Amino acid sequence: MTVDGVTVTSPLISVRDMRVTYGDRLVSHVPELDVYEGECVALVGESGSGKTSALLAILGLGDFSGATVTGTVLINGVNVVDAPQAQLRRVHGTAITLVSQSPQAALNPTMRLGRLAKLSLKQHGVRGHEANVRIADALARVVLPDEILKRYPHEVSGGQAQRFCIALAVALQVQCIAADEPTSALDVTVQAEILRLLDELRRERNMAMVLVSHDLALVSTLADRIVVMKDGAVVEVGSRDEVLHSPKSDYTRELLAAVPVLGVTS
Amino acid sequence: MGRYLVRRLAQAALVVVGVVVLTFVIVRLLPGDPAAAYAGPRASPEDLARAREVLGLDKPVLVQLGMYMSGLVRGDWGTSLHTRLPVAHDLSIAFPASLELVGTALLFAVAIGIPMGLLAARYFGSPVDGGIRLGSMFVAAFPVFLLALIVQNLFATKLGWFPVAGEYDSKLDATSPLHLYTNITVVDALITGNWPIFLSTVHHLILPALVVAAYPIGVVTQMTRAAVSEESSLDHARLERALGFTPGQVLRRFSFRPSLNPILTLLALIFAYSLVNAFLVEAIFNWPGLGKYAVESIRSLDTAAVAGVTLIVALAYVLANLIVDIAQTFIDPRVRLS
Amino acid sequence: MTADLLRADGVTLSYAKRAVVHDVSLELPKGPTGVALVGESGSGKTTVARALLGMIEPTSGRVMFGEMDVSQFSRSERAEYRRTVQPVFQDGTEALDPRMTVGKALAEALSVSPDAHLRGAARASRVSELLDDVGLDGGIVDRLPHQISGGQRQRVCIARALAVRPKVLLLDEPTSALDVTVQAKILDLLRRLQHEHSLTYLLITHNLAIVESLCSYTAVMFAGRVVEQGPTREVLLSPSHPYTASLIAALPRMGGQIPTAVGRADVGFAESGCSFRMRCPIAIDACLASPELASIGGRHVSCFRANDVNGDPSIVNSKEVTP
Ligand SMILES: Nc1ncnc2c1ncn2[C@@H]1O[C@H](COP(=O)(O)OP(=O)(O)OP(=O)(O)O)[C@@H](O)[C@H]1O
Ligand SMILES: Nc1ncnc2c1ncn2[C@@H]1O[C@H](COP(=O)(O)OP(=O)(O)OP(=O)(O)O)[C@@H](O)[C@H]1O
Ligand code: SF4
Ligand SMILES: [Mg+2]
Ligand SMILES: [Mg+2]
Repeated sequence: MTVDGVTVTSPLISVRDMRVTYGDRLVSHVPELDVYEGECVALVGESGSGKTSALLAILGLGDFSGATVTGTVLINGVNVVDAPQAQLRRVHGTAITLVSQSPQAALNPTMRLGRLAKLSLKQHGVRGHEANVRIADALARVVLPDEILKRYPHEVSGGQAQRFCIALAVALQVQCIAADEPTSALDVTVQAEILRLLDELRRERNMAMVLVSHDLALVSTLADRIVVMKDGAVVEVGSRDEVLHSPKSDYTRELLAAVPVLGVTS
Repeated sequence: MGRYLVRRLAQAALVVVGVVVLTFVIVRLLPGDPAAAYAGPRASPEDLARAREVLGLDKPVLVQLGMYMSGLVRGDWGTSLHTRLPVAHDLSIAFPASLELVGTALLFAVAIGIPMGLLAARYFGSPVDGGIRLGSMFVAAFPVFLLALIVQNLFATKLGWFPVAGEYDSKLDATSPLHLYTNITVVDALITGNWPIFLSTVHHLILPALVVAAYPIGVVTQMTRAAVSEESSLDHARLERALGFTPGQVLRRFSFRPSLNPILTLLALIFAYSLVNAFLVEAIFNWPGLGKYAVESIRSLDTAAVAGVTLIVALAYVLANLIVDIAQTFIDPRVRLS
Repeated sequence: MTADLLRADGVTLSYAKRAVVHDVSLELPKGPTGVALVGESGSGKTTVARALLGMIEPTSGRVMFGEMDVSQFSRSERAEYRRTVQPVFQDGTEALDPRMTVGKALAEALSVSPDAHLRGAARASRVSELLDDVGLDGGIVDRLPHQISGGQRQRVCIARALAVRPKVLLLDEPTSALDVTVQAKILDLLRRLQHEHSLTYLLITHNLAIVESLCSYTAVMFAGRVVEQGPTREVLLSPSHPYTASLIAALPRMGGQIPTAVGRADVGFAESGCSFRMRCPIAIDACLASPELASIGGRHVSCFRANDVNGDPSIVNSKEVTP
């Protein structure tokens, strides 16, 4: 593709007219969205506005919660909306993976973290020494001690569980992280570390990110582009600066105004 | 963990004492006079009084209970009126035979029910699932004695694939006598390498065990299906999918283990239920288990024997539960906390 | 004799013999008031809340409910306490029974509340009032926890706790999954209830900006210890402990750069001496010893150099070479 004489690589993820419905209730509609390598796109908006639903549909996991997804979502040329399982296997954990909203519930209660990490890498053909090195490296990046591998999910704090999920994505070396509220359980110093980490991953490995968050201030530090959602619809899409400094929709303005600031009691 | 174990053991002991008291009371409430039964139909009043004394029936109830309990602990479970042998001895022969039958049935239930349940969960809501669900409901609801008669008639009498009745071919006792250790024939035959008897017992076991297994297969299938499919709808399964595991792998490797706890609890329940449920099957297949002994005991108002049967079933149940509870702490680390 | 409703008295808390909270004291006075517990992920905030709920027994120290030791409760006292103190746990997915619809979960909570006598339409209207309070619509009652969004789950947990009409609410990250507009609504609701019903809150949060609206008092935890506590405005606006200062420096600012995490969190914490030593930009040799939680002005701080920090968050950025 060529824009203004400059060659642009094709997008990693390309969404067209994607609709997510539960029964006959449309909960999320994304008309058009492209995510390029190394780019961070954020979905923000009201609770229940369909951000998580959209993210899962983009991952090709819409069916998981009983949702019906229509439209197209191309990842590495695979339309994950209706791809057969054999093709999805080449997308999940390779092109894209998930970092979920509720940290502890996202991990299997009966499996030690180390075993989950090992199994995940093995699923993608990485084993033995190489797997150990990757896991150790990933843990170091998300600031967790190796000893955590021996624990069960209920034996780690919420923040530690979330960082472990991010470590899995790092160890798998995916091209894109789909993150649902990745830092909502982290304290601000660790959150800052994670944001920095995600930013580094983006720079070093050209990793793309689709970030769902309700925290506009947080999103504004990391995202290149922001998609604002309300009641299942996209009300605004724009570059970070456009959305923050010249918001077009009323809802975006409302969101910006409601951000609490330390030392200013509302 | 240690504390959990101690508490669990104390609980089990309490249940056992409760059951002992209960069996004692039930036996006292049974109609008929055991002294009369003991002394025989033409006993004089003196004979009756002596029988009373021998059986301890002239003492206050609490003393009788105490005697009964201390007897149990010493291994004296009383004397059976109809076999005229110690109840403990009778049970040590009949119970292992029942255990053999029910244990095999539960193996079938696990070996068939769990894969069926997993299959149904994997294709939840599809015709495969529907078929399995219907089938499992059918086998669980089918009256066991009817099933026993049909199966025996078809596969043993008509087709001749399996022997009609008995535990093994008794002719073998002459050619290759069996040394008893556990009194469970298959086990003893296996550990002593007595292959003729082993094969014969397995051959005899299959039909009655499958009949006893019908209900357990049905409920284990349904429980596995429900527990595993619920577990697969939780958040962790979503992450596992996103990490590149297929729905089938998520089911087997990730959702199955957290679902094992309710399945195990169910198995412990079914075990006790099946011990009793097998009585009819034992009668039809002439299996030398508790069933025959229990029926005889009830018919002859054999209080000590009835109490013995009740008690051993209850003990088996308590033990099965204890084992399951301990197993659960290994399967699900969260259990250790509560 | 104290007027405290709920109080941790020098509690040390352990999981499987590993102490994760050391000698923490915290007082929750009669409402309307609020105490905030902030600090590093894994520092033991949730653990303290669990102890206040009687879910784990302290290895030393006590948890007192009025004049009574929580671990020595009789059955009826425990029931009373359960009605008075309600938790809202961090993770809505874990806290809600996956097999119970939203409506059922609320009805169950109502059955132990002063509204237990409500039946039929009256009960239904109380349920919808609760849902309305937290900004949820009534259509949600028939859904299971995994059929609603993360923020909706979190609000169901809040509604369930409020259903019991407690005196004390332990709020563990109650708004972490909520967008700012809904969060503002919930905070308004909590503030209103706080005053109308004289409620006491223990607010555990990473979101320092919401602390002030509910809590007049704040305790900061690091590595299982309270390192600074005092009136919220003072602690958060002019911190005295270098860790508190680094927390504030790490807040993301609208449209700003990714905040600098001062004293990189990957260093962990020291086992002896001041536990913040390895990350502290102004550590000195004296810090090899353990600082006591000492009173300075209106607050308590455990730092040998508290007077040097003295309300200046930028101290953590100083490249000052330690003497
Ligand atoms: N059930 C458990 N068994 C063993 N260790 C545990 C258990 N729960 C928590 N821990 C450990 O105790 C420490 C304190 O955990 P806690 O959950 O109280 O932290 P927190 O301050 O609430 O953190 P976060 O903000 O991340 O939720 C952590 O190091 C954690 O790994
Ligand atoms: N499994 C499901 N079945 C039916 N409805 C669902 C299901 N999951 C979500 N919903 C509904 O779909 C809508 C969108 O939910 P979604 O989880 O996408 O919201 P969200 O934007 O991620 O919100 P939050 O910020 O609160 O997480 C909500 O109204 C929710 O109740
Ligand atoms: S005591 Fe020393 S190391 Fe600890 S916070 Fe204070 S200055 Fe830093
Ligand atoms: Mg969501
Ligand atoms: Mg916590």
